[in-house]
Amino acid sequence: MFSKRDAVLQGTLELLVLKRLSRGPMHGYGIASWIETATEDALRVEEGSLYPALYRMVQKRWIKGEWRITENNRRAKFYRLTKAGEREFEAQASGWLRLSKAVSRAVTSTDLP
Amino acid sequence: MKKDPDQEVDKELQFHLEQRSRDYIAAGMTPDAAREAAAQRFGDTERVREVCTSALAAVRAADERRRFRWLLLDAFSLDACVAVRMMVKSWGLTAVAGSAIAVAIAIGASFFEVVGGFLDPVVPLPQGDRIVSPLPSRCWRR
Repeated sequence: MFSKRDAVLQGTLELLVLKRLSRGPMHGYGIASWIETATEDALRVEEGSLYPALYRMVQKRWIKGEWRITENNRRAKFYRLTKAGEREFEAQASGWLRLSKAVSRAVTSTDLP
Repeated sequence: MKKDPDQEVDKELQFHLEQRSRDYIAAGMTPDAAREAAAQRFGDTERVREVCTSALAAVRAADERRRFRWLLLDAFSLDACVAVRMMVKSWGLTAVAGSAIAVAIAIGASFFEVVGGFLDPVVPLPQGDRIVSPLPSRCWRR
């Protein structure tokens, strides 16, 4: 199930995108690169699933896309969080922390019946 | 001016592939090899383009509907404001019109009361309105 470089699981991808955008607007390529560096290359973004996920999130009105000029003077579509997206991020982040803490507690538990 | 959904998605994916190629070239690949590697890493471009285009079209349509609803509400609220302002301005006419409507409603209501009492009388008993005739109205009229 967990190989060295895992494809980001569907729900996790949304959470990671929300996290990156909570720090400010970014384009799809920047989001993909950030996920790889932030997870120290442990997670590799399936680029083919990143964009459908972004558009799904636009449809849910969590994020909004707008065209801007990058620092290299190129036009790129930057995404930013909406108010609903900020709320979603808070909810998903605390849910994830609860779940991961519970699972690691169970996995490392030494007291078995 | 907004681009077509398919053009917009195309531009976005193109930007991604170009950025990836640039990174590969910076890492020492030839431009052709970099382009190919970027496309390979991306996967099924055609499918992604299709999914994203239809999602964007749906978002645009929803936005359009939302905008139209606001426009409609805006127009109605403007009409309501103008109506209230005009009523306040010519208050005499408003008073006359208001009392005319009141009188008309009173006449209508009392007429209905009289006609109703005649056509559908209530038996003078407790809960008289619950007493009905078992005969069809055709027999009753005869």
